[in-house]
Amino acid sequence: MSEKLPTRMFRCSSFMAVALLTIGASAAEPRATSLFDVVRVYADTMIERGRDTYGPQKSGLLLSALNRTTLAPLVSRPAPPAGIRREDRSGEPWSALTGANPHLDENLLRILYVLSQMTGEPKYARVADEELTWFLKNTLSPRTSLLPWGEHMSWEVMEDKPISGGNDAFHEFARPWVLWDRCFELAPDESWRFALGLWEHQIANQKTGGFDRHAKYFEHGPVDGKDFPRHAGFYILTWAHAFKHTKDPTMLHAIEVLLARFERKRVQKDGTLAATIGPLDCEAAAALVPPPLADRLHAFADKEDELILADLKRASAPGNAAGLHRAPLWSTGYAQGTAGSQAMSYLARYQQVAKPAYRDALIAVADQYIGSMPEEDVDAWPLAFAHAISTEVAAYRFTERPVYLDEAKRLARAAVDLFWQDNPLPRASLKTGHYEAITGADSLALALLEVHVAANRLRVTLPANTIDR
Amino acid sequence: MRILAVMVILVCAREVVCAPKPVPKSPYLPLVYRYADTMLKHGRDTVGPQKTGLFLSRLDRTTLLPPNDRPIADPRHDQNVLRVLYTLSELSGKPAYRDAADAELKFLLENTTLAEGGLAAWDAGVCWNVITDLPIPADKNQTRRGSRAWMLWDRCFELSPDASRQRLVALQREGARTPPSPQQSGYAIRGFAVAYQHTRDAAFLKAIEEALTRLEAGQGAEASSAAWLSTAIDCAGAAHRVPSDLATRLRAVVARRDSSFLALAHDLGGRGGFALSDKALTPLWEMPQDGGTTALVAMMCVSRYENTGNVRYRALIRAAADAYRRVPPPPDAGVWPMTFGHAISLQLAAWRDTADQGYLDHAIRLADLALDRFWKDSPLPRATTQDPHYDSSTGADTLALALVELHLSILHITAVRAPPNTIDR
Repeated sequence: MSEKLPTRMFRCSSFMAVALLTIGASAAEPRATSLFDVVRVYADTMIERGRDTYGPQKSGLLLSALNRTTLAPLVSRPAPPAGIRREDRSGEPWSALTGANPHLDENLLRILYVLSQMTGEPKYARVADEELTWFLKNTLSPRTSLLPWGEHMSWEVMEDKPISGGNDAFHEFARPWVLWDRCFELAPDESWRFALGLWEHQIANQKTGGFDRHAKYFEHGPVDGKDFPRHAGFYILTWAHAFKHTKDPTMLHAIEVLLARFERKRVQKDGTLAATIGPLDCEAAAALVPPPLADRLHAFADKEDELILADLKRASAPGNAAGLHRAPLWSTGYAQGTAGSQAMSYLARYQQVAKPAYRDALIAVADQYIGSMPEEDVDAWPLAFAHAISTEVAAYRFTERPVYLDEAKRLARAAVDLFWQDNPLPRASLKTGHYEAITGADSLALALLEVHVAANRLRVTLPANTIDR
Repeated sequence: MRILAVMVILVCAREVVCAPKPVPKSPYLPLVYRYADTMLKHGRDTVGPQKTGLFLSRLDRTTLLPPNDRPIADPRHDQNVLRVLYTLSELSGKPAYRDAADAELKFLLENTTLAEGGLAAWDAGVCWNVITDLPIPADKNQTRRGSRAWMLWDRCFELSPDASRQRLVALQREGARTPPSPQQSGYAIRGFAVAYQHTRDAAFLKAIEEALTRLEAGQGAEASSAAWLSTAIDCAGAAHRVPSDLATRLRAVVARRDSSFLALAHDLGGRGGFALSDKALTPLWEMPQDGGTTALVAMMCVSRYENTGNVRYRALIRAAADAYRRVPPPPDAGVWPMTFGHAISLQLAAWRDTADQGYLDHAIRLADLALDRFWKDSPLPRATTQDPHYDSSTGADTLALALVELHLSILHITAVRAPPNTIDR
């Protein structure tokens, strides 16, 4: 694989990008670089240098990893950021990371849509549309209608094929997919086929709703195994959107089956109740389906609140050193979130139902980040900064206390210095130098936009930075 | 027939192209396990009246017995042994390694006869004669350098909080009586900051302030820039653990020291050395009497870079790594295991930064060379190519730590992380 442009041209392009980083500062952001420009240069660079122009099919998909020195696809496998598992990266085992995984770039796609609104330039939204359209129309498994995305799979841009980071080609969500409305506008039939595939090939038992978060991509073969509750939420949200756009009653039935499963699983062996799916996706789905299912989803979400808030109250009690608020501030890893990532869940739920306990919990987390930076030798991810920054911005919006906005600005500037450095793309972590979306560069960029909008009091509605869960 | 042959070739070629890549080879971790297992079985103090269980810092590699000449346990030289043991327990799930390291720390902290004035052995500069069971001065042989930050204070406080506190109170007293070098001040500040975090005792903040005031007043102005860089590393680490006003002062010292170091006329691209004050450039391979090698200083730059993202440190790291790719170790010189350890970890840092496979490949080449030179005929590495004994003062433990890091890097393992190989200063 060769570089797309000669080195000298890249250097020139890179210089221009960095030069762009030094202009456009606003009065509210006195330093040389505006956060908006940082994000815009990131998007421009991805559009110019980070799309699939390789192999027989020039899909235009955004690559999920790049060499930041050459601004070209990696030619060997880069060092992993802390906590990133081999099989979760966008490349075949032991190979370079030449995959495109829209799930990992979901916030980047959302940013592209926002940039078109903010700049008036349609190219950003067009690129996002092209990615969604091409991916849905070209990568559905012929047998399962599942997509090569998520926790383990991606689209290999050099050889134009679906690949897995591990030895098995498993479909598994990495995040909730919140772009279904746009997907149904762009590729309605394929979006519906995916939703149906999720029911037919991810769910092993269509009576009990038994499933495993892993399902075979290439052939039918779901198993009733590790049915991680949050994945049930992702499926329910998908089916709710599919119903909204198609009115296919199968989608309602699928939701009912899975909801019933977790209504049962909520009851523990000793008769006590425990939260399962969480309220967020059920609440969102409730707005998309008719009663009585909508009412059931609402009720389920309310009960989840009751259980979660009781836990939160216990954990926040004085003297409980091991409580929920004691999550690490900066260290992220597999199945290990930061306090900021918890705060993003509180924010998401507060935005849905405005229960004060969630707002207060978020503010308590925001207080923890005041003056904080990653501890010595922690290989912090962009995602950790993203959530810390968005927590501060939310706390500022809730309280109007300037300290939170100041903290958001401080952390945003630190994140630019630490991750972007002198490059138009952010690096994957503090101890690595390449670009790799899996550690949340897209969420960090979204957080920077939040600071830009809050600091400049812009009337721009940004997507909530709450999908990393 | 010809068509058939072409088809066979095409099918075979396709197989080659499509075959999944094999798991990369890494023979390094088994070697480290052997080293650790041997130290656990044969390398602990079971001689003399008191069977302390301390790790021996010198051993005959054939008999696996302590030598008659200086049969010592020196925790300063074995710190990376302890850090490797903790890592091996994480990797293997076997507690034996961690338990052995814990036992050593507990003995060192709780045995008050070990050093005068209540200091920890590593701060007092003493080691333990395992035959006579008496503390003796650590540096009999002045050619052995031995400056290291003590990075295990957190574990010390978990194991023996009272004893740890007492050792650091003693260190504060000692510092007030005899002002230490900037480098030693950095080590002390790090210890005081850990103590404050564990105890919330404001006396440790005062201890930091005293040390800081001395540094701000220009104490040790004659110290080398590498020594000051070491101070910067420790002050930066301490700043995370103390209240914001003190953290600000610490970071101001760090910023000054970063600027000074980065302004020096380092010549890594040409002669492969860092410029330390007005002395000669650091050598690539042979450990000098005073100061360190290029790789040793480069690992300090790795510490600063990975905690700041400062691209000027990044440039130094890349240039130093390139220098080691250009210049192989001399065949017959007394190159230390420590230097190989640093050179390997430096290549890995450059690989993490650049995603250039060449650095990882070169780390593997250096590791293979190190195994051939030091580790061929015994589970324990030799002190130098000219010294057949095991003697941890030349950094066998640093090499072992680098091999663990290399293994994790080759196999892209992230569930366990190797401790940073940056304590040799």
